[in-house]
Amino acid sequence: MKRLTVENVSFSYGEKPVLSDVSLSVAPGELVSILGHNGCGKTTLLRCISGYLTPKAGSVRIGNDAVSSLSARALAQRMALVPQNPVMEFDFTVRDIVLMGRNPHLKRFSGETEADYAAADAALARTGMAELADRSVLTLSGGEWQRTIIARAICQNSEMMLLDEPVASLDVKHQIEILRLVRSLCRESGISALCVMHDINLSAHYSDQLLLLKGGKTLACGSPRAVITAPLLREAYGIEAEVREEQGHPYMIPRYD
Amino acid sequence: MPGGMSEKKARAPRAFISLSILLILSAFSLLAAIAWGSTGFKFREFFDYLFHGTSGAEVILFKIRLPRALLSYLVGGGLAVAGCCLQGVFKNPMADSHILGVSAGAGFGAAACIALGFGGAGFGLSALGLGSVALGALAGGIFAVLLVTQFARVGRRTSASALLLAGVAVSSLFTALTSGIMILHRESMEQVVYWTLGSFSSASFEKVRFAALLILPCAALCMLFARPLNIMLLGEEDARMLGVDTVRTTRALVILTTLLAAGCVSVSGIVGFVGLMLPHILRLMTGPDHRLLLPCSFLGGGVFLCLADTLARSLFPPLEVPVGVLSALFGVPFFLYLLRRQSKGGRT
Repeated sequence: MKRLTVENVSFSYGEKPVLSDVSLSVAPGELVSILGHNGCGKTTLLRCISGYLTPKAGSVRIGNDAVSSLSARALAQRMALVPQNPVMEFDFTVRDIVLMGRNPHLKRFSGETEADYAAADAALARTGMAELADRSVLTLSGGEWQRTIIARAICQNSEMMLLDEPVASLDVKHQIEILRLVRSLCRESGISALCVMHDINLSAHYSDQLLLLKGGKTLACGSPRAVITAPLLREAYGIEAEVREEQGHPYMIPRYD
Repeated sequence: MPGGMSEKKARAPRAFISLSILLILSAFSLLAAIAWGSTGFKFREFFDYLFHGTSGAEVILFKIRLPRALLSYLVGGGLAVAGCCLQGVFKNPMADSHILGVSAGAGFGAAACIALGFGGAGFGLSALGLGSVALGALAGGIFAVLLVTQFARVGRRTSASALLLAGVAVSSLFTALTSGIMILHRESMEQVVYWTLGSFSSASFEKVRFAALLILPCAALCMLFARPLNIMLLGEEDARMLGVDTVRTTRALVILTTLLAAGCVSVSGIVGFVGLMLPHILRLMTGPDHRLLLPCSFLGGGVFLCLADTLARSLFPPLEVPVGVLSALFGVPFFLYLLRRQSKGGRT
């Protein structure tokens, strides 16, 4: 059974259509990336999947359940979000933030148990943040903060993880670190991940499947080898690019001049 | 796992110390408010009375000062909890019960009652132990928030920013109407102005009972939302994906804080500063976690307003300084000092 099924989803802001008829499915343990030009509807699609926006047509299911039929709590037990620009202006510690991932599993008015603290510690260790657990989040670098948010999503212990441009603001070392981590979560823990991405080559290297959007419509969907081709890149982004093979995956080099 | 244990225990002392300090201060401020006053009672006479039953102080101590001390404590606590919750809901450090229009609406309700001649004793309604001006204020405050939430609703959702804007607009409307009443009905101007400056001089046990029955349960219910409030500081979209029903939580907290603030304002007039700045001051001591911050806000707000009111009535006897004026005069410089010290403390 597919873990996530998106069927013929359409969405519009007022009269302006943003997504038309997009379909996608993600299997257990699979890492899927959504690519496309700015404003092509990537984040809107992610928000339709997370239930933050309600599609005008089509359906989104996690397992057998329609996302729209689940309460916030029930959904959060099964789906975690790593938002694009998470902001926290108050000086919680890293561990405080990671523990917030336990919220959907706690009874409404009860406190965290030792098991919740243990889950947070495990998530901190997994993301290499154990040393910084008691630091104020206001003192973190961009990469550390991003790892904190991913640790929170891990701590949430859900089967599906949505990531909105998880590496967009990071340097290349941290980009690789984060994507390796996400891939290992998929491979080793059986989590499914759906990432909105800007970097075509990183997506091609780490993803099992790519969805390429253009103007809110599906241009191509399939393995990186099938999607990262010169003609499709020309159509999706309006660029000329040469596509090679690097480290076992397609690698595109755009023509700059 | 050992990390988890030590962390959980490491948290406890901060909570223990903060709460102990505030409880001791609470006892001190209530005692001071009862013992200290312009009619010449000093601590010694107070203790004489307590231990020997001498002196005829009974009436002043227990019929006048005790309800006044309790009322100012309850109102301070209620306003601080309301302000703290709204700052969390709106993620806005400037949020306060004013922001949803409670104060402006209550001011209008009170002014209307005063102008219509319900202000004097023996006139008008009384219920719940409140006179007609207080009832008018209560109704006006609640009505203003109802208007705000109606205007801010878009479909099923009520967004935080729409609430803020509607709150500002509705507040301006009611403030203008109150000014209109004062101009058209000049005889009532002084009474309205005094009311809007806040005072506990008309405290009574009836008012204390009303305030306690409204403020204590509402404040306690607010505290049950401490964890969702923490998570909502991350923003609406993020909080929802962490299992917080932001729409329902916001609605519940708007209702609770409105009842809190309207209840407070109806017995005391408009007292500024407490709801806005006390939570900030306490946050510097307790950290941002609402599970500790909300109870501390209640205690700290109570201590602050109880002491401020004691000063207000004993600084220049027989004149009473409006407590709102005094709380701002003392509170604001202290707050600015803390703010400055904190920003120097190497925050990023």
